[in-house]
Amino acid sequence: MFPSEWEMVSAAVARLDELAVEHYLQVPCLFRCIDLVIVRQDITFAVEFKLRDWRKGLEQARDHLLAVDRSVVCLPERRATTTMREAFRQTGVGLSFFSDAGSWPFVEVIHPVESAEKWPVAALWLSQTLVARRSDKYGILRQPATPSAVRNPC
Amino acid sequence: MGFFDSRRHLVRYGIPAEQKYLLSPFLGTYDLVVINANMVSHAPSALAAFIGERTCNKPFMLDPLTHAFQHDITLLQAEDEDGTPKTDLSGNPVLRKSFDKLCEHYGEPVASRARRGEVVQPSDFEDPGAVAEFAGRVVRFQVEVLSSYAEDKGLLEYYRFLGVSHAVRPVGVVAPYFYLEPDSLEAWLPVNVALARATASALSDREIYAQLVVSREVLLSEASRRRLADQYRDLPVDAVLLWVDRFDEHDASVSDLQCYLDLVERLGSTLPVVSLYGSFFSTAIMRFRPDLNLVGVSHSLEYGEDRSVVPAGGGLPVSRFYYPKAFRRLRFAQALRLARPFLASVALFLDNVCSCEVCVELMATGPDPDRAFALYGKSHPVTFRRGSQAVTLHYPDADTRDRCVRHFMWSKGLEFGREDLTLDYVLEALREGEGRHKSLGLSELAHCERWRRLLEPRQ
Repeated sequence: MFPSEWEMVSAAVARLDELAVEHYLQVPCLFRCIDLVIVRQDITFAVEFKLRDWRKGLEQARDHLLAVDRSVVCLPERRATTTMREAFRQTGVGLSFFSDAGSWPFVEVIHPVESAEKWPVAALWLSQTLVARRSDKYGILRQPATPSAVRNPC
Repeated sequence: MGFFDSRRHLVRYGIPAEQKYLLSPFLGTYDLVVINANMVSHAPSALAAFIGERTCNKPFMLDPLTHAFQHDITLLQAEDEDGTPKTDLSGNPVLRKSFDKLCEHYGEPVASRARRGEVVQPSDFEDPGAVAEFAGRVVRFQVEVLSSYAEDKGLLEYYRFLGVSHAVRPVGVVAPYFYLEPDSLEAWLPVNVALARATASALSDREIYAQLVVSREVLLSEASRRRLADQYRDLPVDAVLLWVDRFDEHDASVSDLQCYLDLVERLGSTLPVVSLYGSFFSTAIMRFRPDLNLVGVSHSLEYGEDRSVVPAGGGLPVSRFYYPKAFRRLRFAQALRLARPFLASVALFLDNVCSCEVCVELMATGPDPDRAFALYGKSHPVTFRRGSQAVTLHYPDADTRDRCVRHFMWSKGLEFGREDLTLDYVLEALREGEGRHKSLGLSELAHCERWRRLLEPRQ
């Protein structure tokens, strides 16, 4: 069990670094902050990490659907109850458990559906933020790569 | 004719930077400004100029904030740079300047208690003479403090020239009051009643208001409500100002709201009642249930449709979009989901979401409705530590916050002033909100059904 949400995020980020997957930490989005944005084959995924409160994670992840292609809540491995599965299916948000095994840090429990709510303005703001992070060659906006170096996400 | 003989829209003065939202063009959207006594004691000259000059003698009243001396004194204490409460060489607390000055004005028993770091006790008011003297000083502060500074500035001479004899004087005086919780109700209630009576004796040329500040537990107890009504209904005052600690009418259950209506009705049977922190629910009660005698509703700027009695420790301001048909500030994402079907055209937005001056201006100048509406949601990230974690949240840009506050003020002005805001219109809007709550799962619209049930005319 992770002592804090941030430890879980850091562990996931370390694995993504090893895999050289394009990702961004703590990305601003419509008065919220996406814990982790992963870009794969031009598809943006928002990942919201939660240790316990999956309902809160679901609400946040749902808002991210206004800006990203797919949105996921990541929890430590636990039993996925019927209520939980139903709530996720209703919103289209995906559910993953953090995985220690293998190189990919997530195990999919419920597949995230492509956002039907994506709002062009929010998507544009998000892409502008990601472009700024990408072009930040001095590392001011980039996140530290290893969990030990990660103290302040922004 | 009393000030509360007709229904009134009250706005609370917050901080000096927010003065602009109480001035033109918003001056005509509300009836009275409520200012906390500590703000006045801190900057009397600036507030005299604000009332006398900038608002052109807008009706106002002061909240004497006497309950502040009843809670943990560290809340009133000045702090060192590292946030440590300041003490003097004897170990006594150094009060914040505004409260220290208030102590000078109010005198005993609050002054020496607070300066020793002690809270005021009901036993401090056992002597009727002490009650009368304290009430007299609190009255004098409210009546004289701003007008004396206005006199110094030459403002009163100008008003006398205009034939206005009572310029920069409050429309009424609030009797000193203390907070009532279940455990302390029996001790403090007689003190409050005695202070209200003493205030009435001390003043004959001004309206007098009794402020009733209660915890949620007191509100929910029928015995307490009955006791309060019994004690307050015969007071020689012109209105009761009601404040329930942390009572958010949006989140309150139907039974909690019924308790609120019951208390208003009991008090209102003999005296006009004013809700000191209320949302549109209170405004609707004021408009559509005149039998309850709720005659005024107050709110702060944007936030502040409910408030805790003891400051909860500040926090960063979060802008939200006040969605007129939901009668609530919504997180931008929820507001967007509601507004989205109407962002197809400017006309659709103005007809179905909002046509206040800010919205009209944004829609007229924005490149398209989507991007115009997006200006209510521009924000920047702020990172801080919460426990062992770094947390990043989004806070509104200065322009966003300004837009949201101006939109809120116009929306509130319309809620109070629009004659075509009929009960049928409100019920229809609430039904619509109920439907969207169910179909879109928008948690912040849950109040619509509860409010609709309570506002629907009883058969």
